[in-house]
Amino acid sequence: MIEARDLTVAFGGTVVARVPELEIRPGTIVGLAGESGSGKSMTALAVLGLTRHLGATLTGSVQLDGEELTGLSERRLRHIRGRRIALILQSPRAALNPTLRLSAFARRALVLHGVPRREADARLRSVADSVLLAPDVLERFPHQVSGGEAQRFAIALALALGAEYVLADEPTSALDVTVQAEVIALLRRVRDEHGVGMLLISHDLAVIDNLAEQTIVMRAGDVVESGDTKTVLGSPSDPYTQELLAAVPTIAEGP
Amino acid sequence: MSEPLLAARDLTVAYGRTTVVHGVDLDIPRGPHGVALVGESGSGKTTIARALVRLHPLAGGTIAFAGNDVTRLRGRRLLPYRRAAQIVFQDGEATLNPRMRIVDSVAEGLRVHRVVERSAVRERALELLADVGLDGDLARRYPHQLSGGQRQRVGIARALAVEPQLLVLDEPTSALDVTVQARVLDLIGRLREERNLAYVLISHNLAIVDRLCEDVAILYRGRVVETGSTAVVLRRPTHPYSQALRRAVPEIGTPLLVQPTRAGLDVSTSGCPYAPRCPLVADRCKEEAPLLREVEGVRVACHRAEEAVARVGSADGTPPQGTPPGAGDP
Repeated sequence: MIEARDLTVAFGGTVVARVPELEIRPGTIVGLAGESGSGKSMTALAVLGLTRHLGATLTGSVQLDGEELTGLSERRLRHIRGRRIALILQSPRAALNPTLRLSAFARRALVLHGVPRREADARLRSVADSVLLAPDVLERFPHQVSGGEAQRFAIALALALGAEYVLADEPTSALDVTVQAEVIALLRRVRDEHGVGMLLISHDLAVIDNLAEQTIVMRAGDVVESGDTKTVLGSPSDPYTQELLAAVPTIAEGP
Repeated sequence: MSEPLLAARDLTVAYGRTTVVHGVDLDIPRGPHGVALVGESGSGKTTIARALVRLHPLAGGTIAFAGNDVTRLRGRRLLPYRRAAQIVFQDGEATLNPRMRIVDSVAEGLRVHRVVERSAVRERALELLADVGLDGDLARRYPHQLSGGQRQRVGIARALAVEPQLLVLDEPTSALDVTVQARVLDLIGRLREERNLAYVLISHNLAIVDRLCEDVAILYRGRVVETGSTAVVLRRPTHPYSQALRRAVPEIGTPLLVQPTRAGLDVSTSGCPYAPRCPLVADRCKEEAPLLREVEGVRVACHRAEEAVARVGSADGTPPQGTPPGAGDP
């Protein structure tokens, strides 16, 4: 379980994210909703100890199965990032190496994280199949794949590395709606069949409603509401959550 | 129907040797009226938008505005059309001059098109900004000092400055937060009535289309696959692609039932462009591209439209039980 307490990320004296409590259990998804500048992405980066690279200060505690992560050396953290907690971004193509085929990129990542070279390819192929990524896509360069394929590859790579947790930052926001629907189904499968615990960051409350059991709503760095997704999005008590929900355009029922 | 404000016929646009818009027909009635272009990336919606306002050359087809052919107008003779048909881009930051205060950006169009006396330009620019909710010292700011929603409203004010009859709105809110988006949508809804605006709204968000547009055209790979009244197309989509699009929209309280398909097998064919993804594909679909035809009150380009209607059955787009008879294995 990932357990964060009193997490505070600040640039100088400006607090950009303050999360009193965050728990991600294996096989469950926690949704993190909010608008730009609400501190959602900072929260994910804080869990991985990446905020220090942005020049931010991090206080509070992040534990992975009881082991405290804040204050760990970069060297120790590198054993956790990717290998145990993976990060999936809105635009996975930006994170890929444009000069490497996806398979070569994955091989390097796997070997770097200690997977024996001769096992790397087989491992990637087997997880690629579980996210329904055709083998020929793996032999393409990043500019030759679609956004949906790139996102499936990112999910496959996280699984191949054996990640127990995935922090997904707007994983479907850049995708076409039909592709988004498929990636949502795949994330559900990753949770249910691989038992992966996930933090799902999204500005789209409907995406969160479709995936997350628990939901946290942030605004301007603070948590305004959290709890069971059905309660938070079904009968929100905080006025800002209500405002967010009211602002979502919907297709009216009936002709 | 009376003569449309804009009528595009057989609109064809190519980038080099690649044709990306294949013979699209489009009618925009006089305002207040909204027509939506919906489709995924690569469907040609932005290219059509740019072609409609003559920002992209046509490989074929004609555009008539208020009965006049504007397809080949150039230079000075194009100016009246430039003024009558304005475009608002998705990214407000990229379209505003970073070295100009926003009031000057709005004033530019007023000067070029001599909308008002030179001495009244500044005052009119301030009025326009106030009309989109940007008053006071905001007008003196530079683009980088504004939020995304504010910049988008500057884009709308600039377009409205020259008193156009037609607005082309290319994903005007897709880069905005949802509460900011709601305000911009309200603004568009108010302005269309006040100014009798006709507009083409490019969007991938069906709920926004539902709210702002009377008519909708669904595009797939540069072709219109279904077009008709928004109320009908969104609630009872006929084309298998429209149905897939409608089913894929996530909604709060309704779990998505879409099953993932294998990625990387989407190859185009000589027949229907949707055939490689279509659950109802038949042999004919792979050989012969379907043309738009009338099916139950909408126009649909699908050989199997009748089967597609029967397959859905209910208005909520619930997927059918089992495989429909006669459907080939995709």
